[in-house]
Amino acid sequence: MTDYAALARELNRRVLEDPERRLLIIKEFYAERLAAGDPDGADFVLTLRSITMTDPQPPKWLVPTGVGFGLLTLIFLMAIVLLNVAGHEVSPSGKFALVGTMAFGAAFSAAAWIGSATLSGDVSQDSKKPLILSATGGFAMFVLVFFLGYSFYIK
Amino acid sequence: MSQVNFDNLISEQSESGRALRKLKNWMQSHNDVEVIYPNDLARELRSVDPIALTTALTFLVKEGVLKRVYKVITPGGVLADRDFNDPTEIPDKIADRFENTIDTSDLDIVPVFKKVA
Repeated sequence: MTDYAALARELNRRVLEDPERRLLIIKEFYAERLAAGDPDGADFVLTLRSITMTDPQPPKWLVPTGVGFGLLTLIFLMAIVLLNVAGHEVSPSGKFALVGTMAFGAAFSAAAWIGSATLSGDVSQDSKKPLILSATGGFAMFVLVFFLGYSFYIK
Repeated sequence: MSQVNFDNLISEQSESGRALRKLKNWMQSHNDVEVIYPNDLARELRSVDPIALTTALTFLVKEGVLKRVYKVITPGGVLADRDFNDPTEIPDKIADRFENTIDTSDLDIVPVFKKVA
């Protein structure tokens, strides 16, 4: 029995070797399958390729970036708490910068997480605009954290 | 949606029965969708094995429930309007949605599945 998954990988390998001739290579492949008396296989491979090899995946750095920003924000807050315990008060003008830094950290972290989740299809099945969702989520997180920080810490 | 009896199809194709059942449920819950994009479908049916899903789609094409056509992905990332029955029909140059002529040699294609009335 023909291994269509292997054929799909082979087609993808050929395309990656010479992407400037992408469609020509696909046409050659299709013609080869037709010549081999396997027109259904040709369509099968192109459908399988479309399902498995063109699905946009989130870049590998996106989740570590989100975790990194979250961790940095947490460490920053812990340092502030420790300094506070040690008797170093945050000045009134420093509070604004502190809340701003915290909001930016949370926003970048949320944007990275939402971007990753959207690209991998975990957020909305109909979503086609991961960048917009990611930016909106990040902005919403910034507003939320800044508002809460301003209301409960600065005021 | 077509009135084809999916249950019969599922029993005829036991190997891909699960994929067909999932596809049946998806098509019933997306009754207004006339064109199925395999990539989007696979995202929604993430638990279905890609080969089984391809088999299910191919099966529905053979049964006349769906029609497979190919579309060119333009450099802007959108699909060109024109449908092709197979990739060898795609000419060297096509018009995009703004009637600009584009060279197709380095472009990719995707199969899409249209519901047969």
